[in-house]
This record gives sequence, structure tokens and C-alpha cells, in this order.
Amino acid sequence: MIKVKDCIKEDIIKVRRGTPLKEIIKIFNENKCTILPVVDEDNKLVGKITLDEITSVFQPQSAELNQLLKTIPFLDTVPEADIDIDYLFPEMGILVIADEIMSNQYFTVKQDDTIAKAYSIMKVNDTQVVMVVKDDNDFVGIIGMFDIIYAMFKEKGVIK
Amino acid sequence: MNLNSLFSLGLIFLFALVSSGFIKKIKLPTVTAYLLFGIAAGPSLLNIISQGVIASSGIVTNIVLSFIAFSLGQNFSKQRFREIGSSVISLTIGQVFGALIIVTSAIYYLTDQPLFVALSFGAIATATAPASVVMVVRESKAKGRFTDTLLGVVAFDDGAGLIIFALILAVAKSLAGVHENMVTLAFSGVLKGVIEIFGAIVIGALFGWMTSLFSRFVLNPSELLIYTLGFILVNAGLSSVLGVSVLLSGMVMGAVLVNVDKTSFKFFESLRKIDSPFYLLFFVLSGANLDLKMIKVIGMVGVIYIIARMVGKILGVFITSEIIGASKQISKYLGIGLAPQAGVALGMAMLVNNVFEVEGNFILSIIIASTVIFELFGPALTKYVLFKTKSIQKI
Repeated sequence: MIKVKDCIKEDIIKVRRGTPLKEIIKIFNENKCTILPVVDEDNKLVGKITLDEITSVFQPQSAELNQLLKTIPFLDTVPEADIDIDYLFPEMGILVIADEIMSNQYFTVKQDDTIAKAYSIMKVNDTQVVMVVKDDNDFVGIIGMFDIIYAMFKEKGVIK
Repeated sequence: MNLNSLFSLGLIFLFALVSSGFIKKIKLPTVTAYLLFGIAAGPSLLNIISQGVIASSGIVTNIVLSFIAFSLGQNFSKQRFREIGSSVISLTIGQVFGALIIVTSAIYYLTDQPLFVALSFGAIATATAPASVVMVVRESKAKGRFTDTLLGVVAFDDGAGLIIFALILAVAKSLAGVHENMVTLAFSGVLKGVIEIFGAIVIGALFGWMTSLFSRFVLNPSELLIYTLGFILVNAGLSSVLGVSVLLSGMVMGAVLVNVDKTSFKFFESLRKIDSPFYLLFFVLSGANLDLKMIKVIGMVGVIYIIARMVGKILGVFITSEIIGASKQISKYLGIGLAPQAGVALGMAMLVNNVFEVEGNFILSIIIASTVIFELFGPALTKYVLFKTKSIQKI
């Protein structure tokens, strides 16, 4: 069975907790990536940033408070309020850092797990990407749905 | 009119949706529209909700309350407590106890109601309507320290309120209809309450742990939803059969799950995808349960409940602020900003209605009527305090 380590993407751009918003937006723009892992000084995975997390800066409240508000029952959702330009200000690029906006809601697999397990996690949780970590939560890379399919094609000689 | 239940259900969904469209134009929350529509469509007025649908109020309430309790449980993690901070937690506890004590005392001493009824009102008074407060904050683009504290307290309040309600209801149940001497009565009440609470904690913890343990066998998003729903309902059903607090066991289930499973958010997210129709039905049926003939009877108790609840919230915040050294703005205005009350209070009242056959309907009618008042005027009060604390520039 093909293992996660056989098709993992290791050359992933990652950011530190202290990386400013300006830098994060630049990385997203230049690399057209959809997810940025956040690691601490020991390379342990501590969070992820996607476009959802970036749009949290359009809200005047902290990411923690916004997370808490999401648990409120019967809350009216107004999609246009998610991207209210009035709350943006120039200094935000430096003042807001990865640690404040990252989410700790992500899925992980180990390098020695099978791709079937990674695929199952993606299907059950309706996600396209899973983080790969070592036993001590050391960040290794990410694996996406396409990486799994690609590895299978390669295994059977459909592509070289 | 005696309508077919399916037809009636369909009408409820469609008309409630149209009502919410209208009410949004006057900047009130959707839940207020559902509630008002329920009152209008109920047996007291238009009578377009079939008896079959009205008869399902009990099961809908239990389902919705188990959803709410489970969802609120996810806030009980070490990380969340750290993020929210001790001042918000202290203020939440302060205003919950403020409302409980003042409302219970006011109803007990100023009206002829027995202690268990006063306690039920006191416990229900703890709840606020975070959805209304959040809507006002977003709509008025309020920001700043006061706004953050207000949002933190309302978000946390329902969890704290549900715990208090579960404890008080356990005691109130054993006080109801008992005519022994006070010592025996108090001892029996507390003992039954302790058993009910402890049992709920054990059952909730067990199901929370099992939900995490067996989730590895779930194969796709549909199964995840069915799996989550199944565990929530089995937990609620078993708690009900064993006579322990359904609310507390649901909260403990959510709390244990969030603390033992790093990916527990998938269960809560899954549930959010399907909860809206249940919530809609819950509010409409709550409104439909308002017996307009009761309005004449509830007058004075209703007025005392509304005033005492506001006094309790304001006093609770004031005293806590003095103890923890919170700012003058928080001390003076936060309690007023907590005026809105809606879904969780209605759910509590529906539960009380199921527990106390005679007094339950009286309590429910007052809570429905006061909810309409709190939901119509509460948002304006919240906006007023945001203005007074300079969180917004104009009203």
C-alpha cells in the first residue's frame, strides 16, 4: 500500500507565529497557495491559515472571540458582513500576526500512514488537504487529494 | 382549521422565511420573526398550525435543547477559558447569579407564587439572547473593549445559564408539591438534585468519550452527521429515561468531546449544517404555545419578572465589577446591554412546561410574552449602551 511519505509535498511554504499579515498576504498572492501551515520555533505544527482565517481581519473582534461567537445558536449570518472594508487600516499589515488569526482546526496524518487513511480523512471531513506530522507533532508537509490520485496513477504506470 | 401535518409544516417553513425577510428590514433578529409568526399562526389567533405539529412541540424542544447544550459544551475547554479571560468569566457568573437571586426573590416575595415556581423563573432569567446582541454589534459596527466584553459575556452566558438552570430545576422538581417540614424538604431537594446532576455528568462524559472513540468507523460526511445526531439523541434520550438533566448531560458530552478529541470541531460543524430547520420550528412552535387567554393572568408576575431580571443583570454586573475592578463603563452599562432574551430561555420554559403540569403553562406563557418584549426592546437597549460607552458614534 502506498504510504503518505511516498506522495507528500515537503517543499511547503510555512510561516511562524509572529509572521505579519503583510507577509502572509504576499505569500498567498505570489504562490497562489490555499493553505499556510503555522509552526513554532521548534517546527511543531500549531495552526493553519486559509482564506477563511485571513477574512477574519475584516472583523473588529479578535479571532478568539469570533471563534466563540461561532458557537452561538440561532446566529443570523450576513455574508457581506464577513468582508467589511471599514475595519481595515494600513498598520494592520504589521500589527496583525499569524498567531492571532490562525485556526487550530486542522487534520493530521503521520508519514507512515497509508494514503487510504489520508483519503478517508479528507472524504469524511469534506476537505482537500491534510497536514503531515511526525509523532512529536513536528511539521513535515502536506498531502492533498490530487497528490494521492497522482501517486496511484504513478504506481500503476499510467504516468511516469 | 384542521390542516394536514405535512402541509402545515411546509406552510410554517415558507411563511416563517417570508416573515424573517420583513423583520430584517426593521433590524430585528430572524428568531423574533419566527416567534411572532408562531404567535400569529397559533391556536389563539389564525390557527393554521395543525394539532399534529403542535403536539410535536415537546420532541422538537428536546431535540433543539440537546443540540444547544451539546454545541455550548464545546466552549468548556482550557484553551477557550484562557482565551476569553478571567474578567469575562467573572462577569458572566456575576450577572447569572444576579438574575437568579433577584428574580427568584422578587417572584417569591412580591407575588403569591410557590418557591419552585420562583426558582424556575430565576433560573430562566439567567439566559440572554447572544444572537440579538451580536446582530446589534455587527449592524452598528461597534468595536472596542466594552464591545468585546459584552460579546464575550453573552457568548458564555447561555452555557453558564444552562448549568444553573439544570441545577435549579433539579431542586425545583423536588420542591414541587412537597409539604414536609423545611429541613426534610431542603435535604430531599438537594439530594435529588445532586443525584440528577451527578448522573448527567457521568452519562454525558461517557457518551462524549464514546463519540470520539468510535468515530474512526465513520466513512463519509453523511455518516458523520448521522453518527453525531445519533449520539446526541441517545445521550439525551437515556438521560431523560434515567431522570437526569438532559441539558447538563448534553453540555458535558460536548465538553468532554472537545477536550479528548483534537478534531472534535468536525462533529459540531456537521451539526450546524442541519440545525436551522429545527431552530425555526422550535421558535414557531414556542410562539404557537402562547395561550393569549393567559395574558390577563400573567400581567403582574410578567412585569415583575421583566423588571427583576433587568435589575438582577445590572446589579450582578455592578457588584462583580466592583470586586474585579472593571471599568466604570462595564460596571454601569454591561448589565443593560444583556437585556435581550430569546431561544435558550424559551427552551428552558418549554422544559419547565413539560415538568410541571399545572404551573408549567403559566411559566411558559410569561416567558413567551416577556421574550417578545425583550426581543423587541432589548436590541434598542444594547444599542443605547454601545452609544453611551462610545463603542459607536451615533444611535
